[in-house]
Amino acid sequence: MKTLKSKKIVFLLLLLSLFVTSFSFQRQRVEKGRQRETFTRHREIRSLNGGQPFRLQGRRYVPGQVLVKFKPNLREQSIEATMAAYTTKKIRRIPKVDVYQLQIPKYFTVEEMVYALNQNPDVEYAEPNYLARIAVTPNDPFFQYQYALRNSGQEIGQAGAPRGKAGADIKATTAWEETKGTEEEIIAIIDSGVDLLHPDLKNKIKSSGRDFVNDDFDATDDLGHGTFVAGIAAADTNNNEGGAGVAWNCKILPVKVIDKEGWGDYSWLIEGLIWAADNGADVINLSLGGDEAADSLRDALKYAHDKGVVIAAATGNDGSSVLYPAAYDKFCLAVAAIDYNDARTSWSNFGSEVDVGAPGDRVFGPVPTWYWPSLGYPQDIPYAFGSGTSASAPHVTGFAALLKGLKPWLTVDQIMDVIRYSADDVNSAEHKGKDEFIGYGRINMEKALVPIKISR
Amino acid sequence: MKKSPCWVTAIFLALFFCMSLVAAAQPRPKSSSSSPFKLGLRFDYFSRTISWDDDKATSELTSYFGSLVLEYKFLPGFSLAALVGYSSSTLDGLIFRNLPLSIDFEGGGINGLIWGGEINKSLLSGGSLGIDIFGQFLAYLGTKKEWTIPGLAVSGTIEGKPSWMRASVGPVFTYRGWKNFSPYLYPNVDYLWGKFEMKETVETLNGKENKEIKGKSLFGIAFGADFDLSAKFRFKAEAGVFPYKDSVDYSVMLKALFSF
Repeated sequence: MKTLKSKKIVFLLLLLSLFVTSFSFQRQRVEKGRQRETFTRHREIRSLNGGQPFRLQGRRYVPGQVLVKFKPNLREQSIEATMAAYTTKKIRRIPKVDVYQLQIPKYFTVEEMVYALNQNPDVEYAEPNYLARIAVTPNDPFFQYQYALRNSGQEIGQAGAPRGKAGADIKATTAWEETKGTEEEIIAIIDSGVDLLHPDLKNKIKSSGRDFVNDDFDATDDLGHGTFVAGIAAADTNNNEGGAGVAWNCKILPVKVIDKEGWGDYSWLIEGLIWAADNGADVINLSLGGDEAADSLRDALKYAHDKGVVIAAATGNDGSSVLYPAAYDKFCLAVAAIDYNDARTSWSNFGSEVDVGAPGDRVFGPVPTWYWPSLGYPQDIPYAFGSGTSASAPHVTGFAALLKGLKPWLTVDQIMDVIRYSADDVNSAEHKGKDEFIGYGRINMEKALVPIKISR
Repeated sequence: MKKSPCWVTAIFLALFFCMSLVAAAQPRPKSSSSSPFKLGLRFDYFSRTISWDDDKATSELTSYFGSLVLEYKFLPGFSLAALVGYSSSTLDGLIFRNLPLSIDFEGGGINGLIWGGEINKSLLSGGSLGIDIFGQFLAYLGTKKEWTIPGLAVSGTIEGKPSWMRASVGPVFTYRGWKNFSPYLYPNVDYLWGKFEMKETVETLNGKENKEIKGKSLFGIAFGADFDLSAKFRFKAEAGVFPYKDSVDYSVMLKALFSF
C-alpha cells in the first residue's frame, strides 16, 4: 500500500501538477470488520464416563407397542375397525406423518403384531416403536481446551493431558470473522433437554421448549447429555463463562425426547422432529439414534427436511453400522467422529451414509449445574470433557446454523452440499475422496463461510 | 509491478517529450490533409476505483487496451470516430458472497473485445484558443474464463465473464499558438459502470452472481497534446485524473492518426 501510494504521488507530481492534487492517497477496501476473541480462564475439568463414548445396551423397542401408518385414503371408521380387529388400543396419533402409536395385547409379541399388520392391505407400514439412545455424554469448557474450534497443538486439559495436532480443527475462529450468526437462527436440540439455567446457556435459550417424555413444555435436562450437546452447538460465547459455541449468536430450542435413563422411543423422537420443524427450528441436532430403520422416523425426518430444516445426526459410537436416523442420508447429514489429530476414532460408526466427520474425542462442553454435585463433587464447575459422535454432530449443527444465517437463500440440500464439499479430506492418504469412515472429510467452516481466494 | 503505473508513466513521459522535440523540429505543415478519413492506432491504460454491493465495498478495475481507430470528418469542425480492439481488464478484489461457496476473486486479467466511438464538434476556432465539445463511449466485453476452486473435497470451478462501459463528455480547451504542438485541457463528466457475471459449479451445487460495478469518480480532468509530425501524421498523448472522496484514479492514452 505504501509503495503504491508513493508511486501515485510521483506520477501526479510529474504529470499533473497543473491540476488539483490535494487528495488523500489512502485507498480502502470496505469490508466487514474483523475481530478476534480469546479466552483466558483455566480451571480443572473432569471427564465423564471414564472418558469413554457413552453407550447403552439392552432393549431395542418399547414392549407392547407398535407404530402404524394406514393408507392415506382410509376413513376414520375403517381405521378404528382395523385396530379393533387386531385387539389393539390407540395410545395416540402423531399428526403430520399420520402415524398411530398402538398398544398391543399381551398375548402377542411385537414381532408377531408387526408381521400381522403388515399383511393387511389397509396398512402402509407397521413397525416396532424402536428406542433411540444417546451417542455420547457431556464434557468440558474453556476455549483453550476447545481444540475442535481452534487447535494449536495445545494440551486439551490440565498438564499432562493429550495434545492435538495444530490445525486439526474446524477453523471456527476464522469463520467467525465472516459471521457469528444471529438470534434469528434457531437450533433445536432434540435430546434429553437442556439445563435452562446453566450460566453458559441461559441467555441462549429461545424458550423452555417441549418435553415429550413428560408431555409438558419444560424441556429441562435430567440426564446431562442434551445440555452438553447444546453447549457445543451454541454456548453463550464471549461472555467470560465456560466455553464457546460454534454458532456464536444463534438461539437454542430444547426438545426433550430422551428420559433421565438415556432412553427415548421413536414416537417421542418423531414428535420432537415435527414439533421442532413447526416451531421455528432452522437446524436440528440429533445426537442420538437407534439400530432400527423405521419408516415413521424417516417420514418425520423428511417432514422437517421438506420444511427447510437442516438436520445433523450422530452416526453412533459402536464401531459398527450407522444408526438411524443418521442413516437416512437423504434428509440429514450423518456425522462421524474424528479426534484431535484429525484421525478417525475407532468407535465411530461407519458406512456409505456418513457425510462428514467432526471432532468427537475429548470435546468439552457444559453439563447441568446439578450434574457434578449429584455425583459427589459439589465444588466442581458445571463443565466436562466428553467423547462420541454426539459431540461431533453439534459442531455440524452450529456450522449449519451459521451458514443458513449467512446465506438464507440456500436450500437445505445446498447447505448440506456446501458442508460436504467444503470438508478437508484428512484421511486421503488411506481413503482418497469420500469414504465410509468420515465421508467427505472433516468439516471446514472457513472454506464454507469465508470467501475462497481465487488467484491468478 | 502489480498495479504499478510507473512504467506506463515512464513510457508516456518519454513519448511526450520525444514527440515535443520531433514536432518542434518539423516545419509547420503547409496545409492539413484534405482527406476526411484518418486511420490510426490507440493505446489506453486506466486504473479506476469501483464500488459494488451498494457502495459498501470497493476494489480496482485496471484495463489495458489497444485499438484500431477510424475517424471521419463530416464537416469542418465535426468528426466521428469508431474504434475496435482488444483489452485485458483486471477486476481483482471483487468478492462474490451470493454464491453457494463465497469467492474472493483475484484471478487477474481477462481478455476481451473493446469497441467504442468518439464525437468531436468544434465550438470556437480561429485565434490561438480553440474550444471543442468531445464525447467518448467505450465498451468492453470480456471473454468467459474458468478457474478451479482450490481446496474442496470435490472438484469445483467458477466461470467469470466481465463487462464494463465508460462514457465521458466535456469541453476541450486547446491552445493553438505553437508550431506543431497543441496542448489541451479536457475536463469531463465520466461515468463507468459494468458487471461481472460469476457462475459456480461444484458437483451438484450451482450458483450464479451478477456483480454490478460502478466507478467511484464521476468527474475527470485530462491534460494532453496533439503533435503534428507531418501533414498526414498526428500523434496525441493524454493523461487524466479522476478524483473522488478518498483518493484519485488515473489514465493514460496514446494515439497515432494517419490521414489518407
